[in-house]
Amino acid sequence: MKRLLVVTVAAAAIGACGDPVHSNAVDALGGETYGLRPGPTHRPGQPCLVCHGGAGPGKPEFAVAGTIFQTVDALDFLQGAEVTLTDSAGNEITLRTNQTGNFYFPASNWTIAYPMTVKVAYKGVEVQMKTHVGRDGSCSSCHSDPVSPSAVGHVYLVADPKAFPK
Amino acid sequence: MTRWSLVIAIVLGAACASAPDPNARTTVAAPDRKNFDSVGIYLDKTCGTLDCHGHIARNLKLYGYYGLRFAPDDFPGGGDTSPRELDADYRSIVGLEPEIMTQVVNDGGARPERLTLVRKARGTEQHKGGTLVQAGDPGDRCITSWLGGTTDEDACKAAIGTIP
Repeated sequence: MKRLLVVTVAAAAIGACGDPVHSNAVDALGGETYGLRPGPTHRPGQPCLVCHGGAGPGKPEFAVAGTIFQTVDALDFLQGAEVTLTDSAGNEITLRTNQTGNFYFPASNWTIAYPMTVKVAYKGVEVQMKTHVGRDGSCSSCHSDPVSPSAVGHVYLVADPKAFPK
Repeated sequence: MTRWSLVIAIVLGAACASAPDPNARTTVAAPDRKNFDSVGIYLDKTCGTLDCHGHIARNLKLYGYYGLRFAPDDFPGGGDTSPRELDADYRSIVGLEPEIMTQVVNDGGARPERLTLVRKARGTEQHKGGTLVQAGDPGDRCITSWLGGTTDEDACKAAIGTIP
């Protein structure tokens, strides 16, 4: 009986510890941004699947999620862009960005067969992502600012603000 | 001490009984670096995106135009893949399974599927990044021809041209 109790307590303690890497990643995101409350428009530009990737704390779990901005030099959200995602099994979905440029698709409806290609279209401007997505459905895992040897910067429609379609 | 404790103690003791030989060396036969450039560019484009093997935490880490950059002032999609990046990619590939790589190279590239690199790319071993080549297609030939000693440059060019 005593041994059973020890084993139970030890198992509970290990379970309670969780994944410190994940916890640190969640903590690193900090509080809510832009004065937005949790919901479809919150935390634009952040790596969505850190919280919505199945390990919590965000729900629902997403297969893919990200944010589109208008231009390279400013963080103006792009609402109404169509984001088309095509996986290697030929599954294709098109999502529309909301008021803060966010788009997302629930994991319960799609197990992505990587690699996946991405295309963004808005008012006649169409941009194909230069590379495929290999394994991470969270755009901002790679598309974070500032640009560095290991980060490519936020996702934008056009580099030149003058080329932005009105 | 119970009987099982005694057995475990003996096994652990035996496992620690001999120190590694500090003079031991393993000779590695590797495919030629000179024939690697087009293979490296293909691997960078196919496998080296920032979320995959262009991530700093990967065991098999690849540098290049399409992903992680070697120079601190460079960025993904910036300068062309540099010779230093191809050197680093070569060391990553060759250093992944040096003993098996040696066997494959010594056998003239026969049964390349002994290498995890090939199995993962073919999708015959669990690979989060999916199946990237089929045995005998240009991408596969690009890699396996290099392992065999003569890189099929046409296959590499064709493979590089077939991915986004």
